[in-house]
Amino acid sequence: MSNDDGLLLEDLRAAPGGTEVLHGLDLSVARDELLVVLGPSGAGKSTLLRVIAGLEPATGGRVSIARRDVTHLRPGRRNVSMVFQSYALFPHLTVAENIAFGMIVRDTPRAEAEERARRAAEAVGCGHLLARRPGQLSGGERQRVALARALVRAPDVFLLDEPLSNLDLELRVETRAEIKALHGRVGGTMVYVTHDQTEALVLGDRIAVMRDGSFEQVDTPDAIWRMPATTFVARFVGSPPMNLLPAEGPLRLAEVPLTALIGFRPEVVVLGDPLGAEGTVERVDVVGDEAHAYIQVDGHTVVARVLAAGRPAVGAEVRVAVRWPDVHLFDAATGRRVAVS
Amino acid sequence: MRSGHRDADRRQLALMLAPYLVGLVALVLLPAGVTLAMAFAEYDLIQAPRWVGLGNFVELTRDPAFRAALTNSLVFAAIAVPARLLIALGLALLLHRRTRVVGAARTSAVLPTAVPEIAYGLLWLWLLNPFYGPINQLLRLGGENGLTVLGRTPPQWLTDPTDAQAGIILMSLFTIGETFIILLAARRALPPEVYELAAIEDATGWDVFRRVTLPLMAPVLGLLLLRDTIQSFQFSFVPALIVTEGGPPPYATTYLSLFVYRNAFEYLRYGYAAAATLVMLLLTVAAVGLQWRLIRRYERHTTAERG
Repeated sequence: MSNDDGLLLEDLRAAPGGTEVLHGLDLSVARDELLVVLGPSGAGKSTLLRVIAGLEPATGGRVSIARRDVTHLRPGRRNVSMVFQSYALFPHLTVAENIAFGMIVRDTPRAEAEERARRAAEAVGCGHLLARRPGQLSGGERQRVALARALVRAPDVFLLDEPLSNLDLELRVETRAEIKALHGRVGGTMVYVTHDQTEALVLGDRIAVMRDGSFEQVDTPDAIWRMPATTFVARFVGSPPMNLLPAEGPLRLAEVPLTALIGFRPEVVVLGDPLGAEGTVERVDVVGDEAHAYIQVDGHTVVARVLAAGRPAVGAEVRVAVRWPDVHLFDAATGRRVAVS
Repeated sequence: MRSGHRDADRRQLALMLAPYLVGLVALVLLPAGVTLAMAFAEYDLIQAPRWVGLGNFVELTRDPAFRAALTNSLVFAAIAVPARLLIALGLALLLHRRTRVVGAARTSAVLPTAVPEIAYGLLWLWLLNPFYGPINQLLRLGGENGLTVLGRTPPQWLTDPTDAQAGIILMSLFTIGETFIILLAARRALPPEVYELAAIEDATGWDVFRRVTLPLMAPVLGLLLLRDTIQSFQFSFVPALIVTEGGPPPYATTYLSLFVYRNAFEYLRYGYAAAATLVMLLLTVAAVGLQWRLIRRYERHTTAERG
């Protein structure tokens, strides 16, 4: 454990409702780091957050916050704050009272609590809403109030559980940028749970990709994108997902063991290469000025990302090749990444 | 065409509403009208009703039985209504989680309400018996010469005026099944996240109750308070009729409902009883109006219209 650990998980296990959901997680989040936990629903992301907060007991392992073992402390003693997906604002309290709630129940003098609530509200841009009640706020405004409430107490760890999932797309993109800027300003150790890969790639200092209660890979967004550790990460991050073909399939590469899987993103597929494999275009999805062509090549489907203007027609015969330097190799049995020799 | 279609709709609507409307008119509005009229008359089923103007009301103000009944009813409502609500709330908050024994506990909380009123009254007649009733036997436990441990005489439930009034209130505290179920449902409908947030902020149990549970349940509590106040003039009727028979003398447990019942059906003074009923109704309206204003003020203070 290094000296600047904000949060440390060691062999953390949890079994809410009797079935083990977290299978021995190890993770270290540095102070002032924003770590995004990314995974499909049911991966155990929210359970992880709840175990860190103490809302769900750990059945094994340790949780340390700011170099303090908090595994057996109750939530209120862990000095964390949490932003819930539903925001969990109190409908009967004003925005100011909502933000100050934590300080009031901890017996902070009222004047000080009010002043700090006002500053926190201003920090997230909802200073003009202090006298309103949640029922009078829009979704985006409620989200800001929930953020302000998490900020106000300067906790050791911020936990955010899909905080943007109830916002419409435009607001989500805007708020995402604001959260990143906010984290840049106020710092703090943040664990941010999402199933949205774009959110993870944009926000995270590092991303922990989670699947079935285990981490598949914990790394920087760059590394997750360029060197996915497993086929799961490779296909979960990126849209459309990475193509995975057996090495003995239609697209062959010299010096590759035939038991491996080759992976390549849709954007490195080259259409019309005279040396490429023959394929038939099955379907073309046009998304603005780009198009995703689904091509049947010798019993395998290959997705190619092409310019909409140069897209092939459905049913057309095309020759498919791949820019080989951009290919990833995975062990077919374990799904783990294999170095390209 | 179109208007014909609407006429058909209306006919169907009228047809479907008819049973309810007939019942409402014949069983509620008509008797209410008759009661209102009769409050200003004298009628004993034998002679034709005689118009007496405000005579009945003037007599009510001078009637010691009515004055006792009025006071008893108000005291009963002032104690029993809040106490019932608090007990039901306490049980609901205690039993809203799913654990092993909770099912049985919830059932026993509701059970007394399921007992027919007369049977319930007779049961309490035995429970409250000063000599062999289980309550006083329990109170005498450890004491000597029929006294309690503290050396005091156990309550004379059915013969001492104050003890009898306390007994009737005691009886009413167990028939809270319906209130309990409503509060249980209301508590279970509250979002768990606000409680998790309170836990993260290390709010104490008292703070959670005061700052989270109570305000969030306030609308339901207010509604139940209104309902129980309206009904409180009736809770006391069967117990007073069966257990204490309005006594000990002269009128220790004569409540307005029993007063009306006696005057109408025992003394055959229908006009007089109707006047007392009218007073009871006006009192209920006044109490409900007052509470309604308090609740509205509270709501304006705490919640605003949804945006």
